[in-house]
Amino acid sequence: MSRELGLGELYRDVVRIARNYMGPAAEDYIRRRIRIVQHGDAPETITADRLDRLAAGIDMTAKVYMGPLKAAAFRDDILALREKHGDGRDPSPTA
Amino acid sequence: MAGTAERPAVKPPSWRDRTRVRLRNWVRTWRAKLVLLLLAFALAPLVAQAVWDYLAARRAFQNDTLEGLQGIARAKTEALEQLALDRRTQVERIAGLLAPRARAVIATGAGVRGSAELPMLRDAEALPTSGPAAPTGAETTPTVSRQSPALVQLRETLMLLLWDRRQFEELMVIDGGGRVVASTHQEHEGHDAEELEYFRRGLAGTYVAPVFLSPITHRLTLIVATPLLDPLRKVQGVLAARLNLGNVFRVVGETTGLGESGEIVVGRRDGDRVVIVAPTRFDPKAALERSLRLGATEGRALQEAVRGHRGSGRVLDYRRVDCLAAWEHVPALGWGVVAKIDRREALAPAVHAGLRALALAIPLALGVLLVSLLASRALVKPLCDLREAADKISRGDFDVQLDIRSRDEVGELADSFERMVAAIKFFREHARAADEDEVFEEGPRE
Repeated sequence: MSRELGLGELYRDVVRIARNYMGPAAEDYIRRRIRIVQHGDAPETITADRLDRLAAGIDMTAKVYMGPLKAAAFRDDILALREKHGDGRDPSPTA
Repeated sequence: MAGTAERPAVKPPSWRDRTRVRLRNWVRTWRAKLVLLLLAFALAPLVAQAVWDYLAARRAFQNDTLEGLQGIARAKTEALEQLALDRRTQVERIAGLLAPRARAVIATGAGVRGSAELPMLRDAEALPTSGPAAPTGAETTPTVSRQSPALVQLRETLMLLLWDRRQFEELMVIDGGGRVVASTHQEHEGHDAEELEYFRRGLAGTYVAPVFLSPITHRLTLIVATPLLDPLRKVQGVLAARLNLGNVFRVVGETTGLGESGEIVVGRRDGDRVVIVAPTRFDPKAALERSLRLGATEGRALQEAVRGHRGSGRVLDYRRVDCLAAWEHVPALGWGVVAKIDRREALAPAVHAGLRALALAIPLALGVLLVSLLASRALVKPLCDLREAADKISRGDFDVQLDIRSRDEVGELADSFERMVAAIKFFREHARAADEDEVFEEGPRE
């Protein structure tokens, strides 16, 4: 199901969530974080299997800009996107 | 002296000034406004209820008092009315009893008057006050032959009727020409009463004269005059009875049910004035000494009563004291009766009840104040935290931590504030490291 979502959909969802925590700096911050996760690839191409690493990076760096509780909530909100977009792993083959 | 002017010492602000400034600053705060608002909302219904209850209690006490006063005034009026009717009936009966003996005396003494001018009987002026005397042979009267057995018999009868003076002070028999032919006060015999109103009106029928000061006893009295009739119902003279008003004044002076400030006031109309005719509780010399002008603000109750009206209400009494009063008219005497009590005393129970309610309300108000302070503190604290955070940022310190977890508008404001701080921190940090970021993002420049 998640695979059917258009390219960049996940990126927009991530930015939308980030705006709740970083305000006008959300897009810059997220682009920076995604580039690190994707080793320089275009941020709009982020896929769900990178969400764990993105969330870990947010957990580490967001504490600089906000309180630890907020940073944790930010991370959890990003991880929650897996429910919508999947975690990028193929489902186990049925017997 | 060299020009080293001493600088005046700066006086430190007093405790009162400091407190005033603190209070003024506190009143301007949101917390003070919240406290006042909460207090107003909490106490306003209580105060309204208390005021309503107090006014209702006052109305109730006032109505109860007026009802009580109406009952007292009615009772006094009926007592006075009954007393007047009793005396009137009594005098008429005495006149019937005395008529044959009076006729004999009048017949005997009618020709004695002759042409000599008789001294006037002036009831309201000072006369010899020897008191009632038994007829003796040694006494002389100017005109009537005291040797007349009929006169002696008449005097004895009069004295017998008067014997204890509990009801009458004097009994007089006046002939048709106005001459006093017999009296329990022998000084009055032979005097001329022709010009006296009670004589003239007594010829026509039973007449109750207004109260006046007795020259005999120097006490207040009034006269009941009634015609003496012969068997043919022809008027042969007048029997005048001077009443002892002790019983009347006892009725008036009785203040049971009137508290500490209540009294009965009795008056009669005299031209355009109302004259008080009996001593009052607070002015024993009021009788005939105090009077009120008809139409005056004070003593309205008495004015209404002497006009023949009945009523009750709040009035100024003859002392100009705010009173509750009930008034009645005594037709038999033409008097007005007022039963009154100071309004302050009548409403004292309501005031006491109000004070008790106030005493209970004070701890309640203090409790409300405490709750208001705590509630306002809880409500205002997030705003204070935000203010402090903004203040720190405005001074360049971005290391702010807000601990606002509320879900209300203040919580949303705190969220927005935190977003703003996060963005500022981010932009500020990366503005400094812009070169490195650009290197990372754009690749190394050649």
